[in-house]
Amino acid sequence: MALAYARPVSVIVLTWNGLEVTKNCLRTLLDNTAHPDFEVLVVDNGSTDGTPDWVASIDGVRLIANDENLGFVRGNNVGIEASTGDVVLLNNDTEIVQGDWLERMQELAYSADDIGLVGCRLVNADGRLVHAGTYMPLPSFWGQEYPGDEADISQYADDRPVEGVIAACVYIKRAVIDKIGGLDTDYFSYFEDTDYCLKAARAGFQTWCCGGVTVKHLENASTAGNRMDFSGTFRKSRDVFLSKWKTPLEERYTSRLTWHSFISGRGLYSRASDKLLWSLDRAGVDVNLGFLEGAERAELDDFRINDMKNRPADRDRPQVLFGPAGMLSRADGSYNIAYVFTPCDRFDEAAVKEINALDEVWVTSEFQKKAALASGVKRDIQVMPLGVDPDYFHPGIKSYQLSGRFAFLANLEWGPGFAGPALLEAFTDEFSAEEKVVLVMNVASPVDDEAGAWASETAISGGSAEVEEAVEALSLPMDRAPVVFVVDHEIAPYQAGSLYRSADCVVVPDRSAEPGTVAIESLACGVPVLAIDFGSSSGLIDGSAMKGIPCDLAPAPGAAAGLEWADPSRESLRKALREAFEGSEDARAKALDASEGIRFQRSWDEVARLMKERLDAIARR
Amino acid sequence: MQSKDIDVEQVMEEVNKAVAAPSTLLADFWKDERPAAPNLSFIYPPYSKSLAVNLDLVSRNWEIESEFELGTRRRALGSLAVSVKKLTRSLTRWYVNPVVHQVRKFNMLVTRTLFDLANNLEALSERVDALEHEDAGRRLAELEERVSRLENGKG
Repeated sequence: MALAYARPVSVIVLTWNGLEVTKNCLRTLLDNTAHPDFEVLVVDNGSTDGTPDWVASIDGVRLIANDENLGFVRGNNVGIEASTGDVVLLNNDTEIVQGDWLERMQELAYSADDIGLVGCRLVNADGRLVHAGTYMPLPSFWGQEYPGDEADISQYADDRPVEGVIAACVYIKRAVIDKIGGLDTDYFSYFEDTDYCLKAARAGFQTWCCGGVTVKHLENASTAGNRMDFSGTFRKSRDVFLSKWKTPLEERYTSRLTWHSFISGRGLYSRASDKLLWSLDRAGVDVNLGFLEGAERAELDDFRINDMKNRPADRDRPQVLFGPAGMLSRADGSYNIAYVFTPCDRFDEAAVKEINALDEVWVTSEFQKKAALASGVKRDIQVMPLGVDPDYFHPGIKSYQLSGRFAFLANLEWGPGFAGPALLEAFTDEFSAEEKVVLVMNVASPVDDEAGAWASETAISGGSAEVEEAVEALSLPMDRAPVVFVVDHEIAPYQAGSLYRSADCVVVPDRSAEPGTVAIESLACGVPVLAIDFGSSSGLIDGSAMKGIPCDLAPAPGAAAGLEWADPSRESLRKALREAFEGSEDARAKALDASEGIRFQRSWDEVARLMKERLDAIARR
Repeated sequence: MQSKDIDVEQVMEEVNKAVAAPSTLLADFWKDERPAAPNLSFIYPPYSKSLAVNLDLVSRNWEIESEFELGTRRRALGSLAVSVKKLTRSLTRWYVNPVVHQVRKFNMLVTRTLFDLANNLEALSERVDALEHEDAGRRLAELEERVSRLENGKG
């Protein structure tokens, strides 16, 4: 990319031994950087392995050789003081792999006056994404990075404001340095970067992560190579950080809430809760956790949510109970909110009784609101739709499409809640073996195993042949288009967008009135959707990006008498599949058009904003 | 044998292979009598295919039954044929049922044993993992101590 106006930049590389990684860093930096006006400034912290001599021999590199190890902070400050324009702090254990990295970071830095610092995506030596901004969970104050350690599927590809970035690669505008100076010398190493971002924020400068730039970071090669006392240095820096920022960070919360749900599991409640809790935290809502079932004592993998679990209980806060109606009796706060949905056309009597015993009810769609009203819910009803994470669901997420074959993808659990058998029969009836089409059924075996005590006792997951036996019993024709069952694969949840992007059309065969987030996530990825026209899905159907499958209603097994859910016929499924196949190009274009609106209007952050508004209104009463 | 997340890339590779060469587990059992539909494929997670899925099949099929419903394909004299079968069954029940009972008992014991073995295997795997982790931690602590001694000039 070419900048309209390229500003001079000093790229400061701090070294302390580790000659080999420094050679790699400088070689890739000098070879791969296309920016027309940059200098490389190496600050050496008293290396004894020949680093200063080697650096001095490189043309176009300015060397400042300190006599002793000043540490990360003071070493970099020497470089900052020796520069006159903008600076980039770049660790010597990084590797530049993208020619326009510096232009992109500079362009983002100057896209608004109040952007002061710009970081980027960092991948480790294995190519896994380890950094796309930082956050500081409370009360542990143990700084963490987005996303931690994930396969790089092009998540966090957009430029976005973040709480902080690490100093392994950060662009700092001169205006920031003029206002707040260099890094805080109270730190030797670690936490100085978060401190600097917070200080910049206080001075009116935001920190952004540039999603279009990825740098390879070999991580702690300096400390490892130098046998540095990592944990001791880390602890000391954390103490310094706490003395400066504990109170200001605690004061960032302006609303309070207790959230009761299922946490860190794989079901809809858990997955939605995980996303919502992060967004609520970002929105300034101090959340503490209750659990609707189990897990109270479990140590959770997610640092931010784990911290919420460790906050003290407080019954004076509003409580949200996000779970099945049968668990609403757990409410014990001063103001209790049921966040519920029904899989059927109405709520059953027992659920209505429980909901009406609370103070307010939140539902997931207008359909659910109508169902609640029709069922006799008397409380104030607010619509809080399920959302989408735009960092993980967008049209740039990595795709593994099958070449030369149109792929339908259906996510389902094998059981009465999904029209799995009808979909299979419709597909095999409709498509011949000669047509270049495949149905991929990403299917989970039923949790409630009917095969007997031993099968349910087995501690081995992913071991059910129930689906295969059930499909065999359908006696499907043998000479039709292929169907591939992906059975009980625990696909990494963050890669769901990659799975949808690998399909040409996502089919949502749920008979429930709340099929969850698959449709909206697929649309956010720019993938057309075919969904049963019932419940919350109906509100998303536009006839182009998302097409509806007409259905009748039928009694829902196991539900109270008179409650019904969707029952699509084989014929309607056949017709819808055929239309989706033949109109795929148009649908794909429409889905791509719809993607941006979905991602920003239905993001979890937007849902959290709605919730916070409501919580503030409750607090004002 | 812990469950672990699987990458989409790996799944789609498997899907690609399956489209080219469909395969099912049950086809192995019934290949002579009931050829599987060649357009259907079942992909199981890599950590489960060899043991857990087969255990599941065992658990579904151990309980053999002699009292299945009797039928016939003959249109003419069909009811007569069924009556003859029923009579034959009632006459041989004294001999067949004890044998079926023995086979069921044996199947039950084998199934239970297989599940016990699988669970023991998993427990052992977890124990080995824990020991390896413990050992690595201990070795790391020793190394750190040696490095500190060297740095302090006491080594």
